[in-house]
Amino acid sequence: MELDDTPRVTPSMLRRADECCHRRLAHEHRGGKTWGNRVGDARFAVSNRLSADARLAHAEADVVRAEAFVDPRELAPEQRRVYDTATRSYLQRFGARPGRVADLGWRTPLPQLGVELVGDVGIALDLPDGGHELRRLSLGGRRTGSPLLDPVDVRVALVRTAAWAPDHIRIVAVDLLEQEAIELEPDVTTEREEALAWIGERVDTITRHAAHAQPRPGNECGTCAFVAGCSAHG
Amino acid sequence: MRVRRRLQRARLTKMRRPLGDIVSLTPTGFDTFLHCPRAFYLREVLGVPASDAGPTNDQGLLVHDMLAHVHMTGSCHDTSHVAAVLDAHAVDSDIMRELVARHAQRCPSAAAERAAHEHTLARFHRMPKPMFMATARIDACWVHDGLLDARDYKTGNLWHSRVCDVPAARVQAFVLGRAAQRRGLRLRLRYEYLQPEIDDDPEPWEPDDDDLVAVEEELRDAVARMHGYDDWPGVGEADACRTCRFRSICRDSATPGEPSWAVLTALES
Repeated sequence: MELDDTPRVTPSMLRRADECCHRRLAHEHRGGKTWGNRVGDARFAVSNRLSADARLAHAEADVVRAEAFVDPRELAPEQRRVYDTATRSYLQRFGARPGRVADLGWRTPLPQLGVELVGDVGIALDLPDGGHELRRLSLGGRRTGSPLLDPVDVRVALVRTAAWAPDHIRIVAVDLLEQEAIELEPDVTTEREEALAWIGERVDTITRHAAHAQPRPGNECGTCAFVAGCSAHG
Repeated sequence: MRVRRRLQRARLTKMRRPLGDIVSLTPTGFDTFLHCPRAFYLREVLGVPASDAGPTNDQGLLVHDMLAHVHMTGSCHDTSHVAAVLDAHAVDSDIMRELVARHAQRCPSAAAERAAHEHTLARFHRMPKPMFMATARIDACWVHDGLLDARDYKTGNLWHSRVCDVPAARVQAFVLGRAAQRRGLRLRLRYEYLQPEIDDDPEPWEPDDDDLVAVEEELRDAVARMHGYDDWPGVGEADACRTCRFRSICRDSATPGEPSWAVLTALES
């Protein structure tokens, strides 16, 4: 059972609240999948492991520890190939860019909106020069034309990093397989305020759709954790 | 040390059951599974990014989009409307007009009471276990003459002479079958080959109730086999592996090599 019953919003909800299944939205908004059916989560194994090891590599402020990246022998051989390529790519790109990892956790309470903003925004680093850098790592698989970093990612990152990086932040998004990268230095004063206002509007939309919780059977049924009791599949 | 061993054991235990309680089945996924369980495992279960380029399907995607637009805003039989839609999307070419015209020869829209385009259907199988959720995006459906007439537009090679022999069609029939039954309609599933070099479409499939029961059992049996796999074997045949999007990195590939993303990394270094 979830200990905290504050409704949650994720980047996915913010993006897709209008077109997604509102029954699933309602369940996810209420929080937790404890009572749902178990969905396969193996597809996150490589990215989770990579992020965890990259964080470990940045445990010290002035050096990037390559030895933190350890062959994940518990994964399938093909996943290990992805991991190996991604770690080599990470070290090529960031091996000489140290910083101490900061823990942003998984959620940021937004009491003014009555929700928690939930999701991993990337690897947060306190740089040796006092700056703050957020690194978002991806591993291929994007659709043609999809950006590495979309406006929702940026807004969520700005709001989730408000306490840690109040004055300045650099956001770096990298696809470690496709060798693409983008760097942003948003104007935190204005853009963070705009981001919070936008999230507030989206929370209203999410709350409204979640209230009637109407199922919309379709593509996302294949990954839904709340099939039991769904009138679309009775 | 003991804690570390426990953690390793927990990781290994977790990896032994990568499938969820309800397995997701799509036409492409089912077809992939029958051809090569490992390709299904890599793509659908582990979400491993493709290591190699596959055949491009840009023209196919484009013609799907255009046919949906043409039907949602008018008729495919109205050549000036077709030209306007293609022109508005900057794709008014001889080949596109010909592909749409090929469809129009077989389009039942003039006699149809209702239609849907690019619509995704989902159907849940609960009992007997294992459970699965089938989803399929249907290019077009028309209701006419007591039929739910579903179409799958094709721009690639013709592999089968009958739709009922196509593995992907089983998943399509499973989700469409219930939609047809609920409306008191018979189902017809037709594959429309739009390119001019293919003269005849494969024989359409009109599955009856017994066929649909057999289809459900076939899908259930496939999902049961998925749950039984620890090793997820690959087909390991050169002809099949040659076009696989995991051919470079697959453990069981008959045509292993360097993945396209690894080449990029090597060039940079």
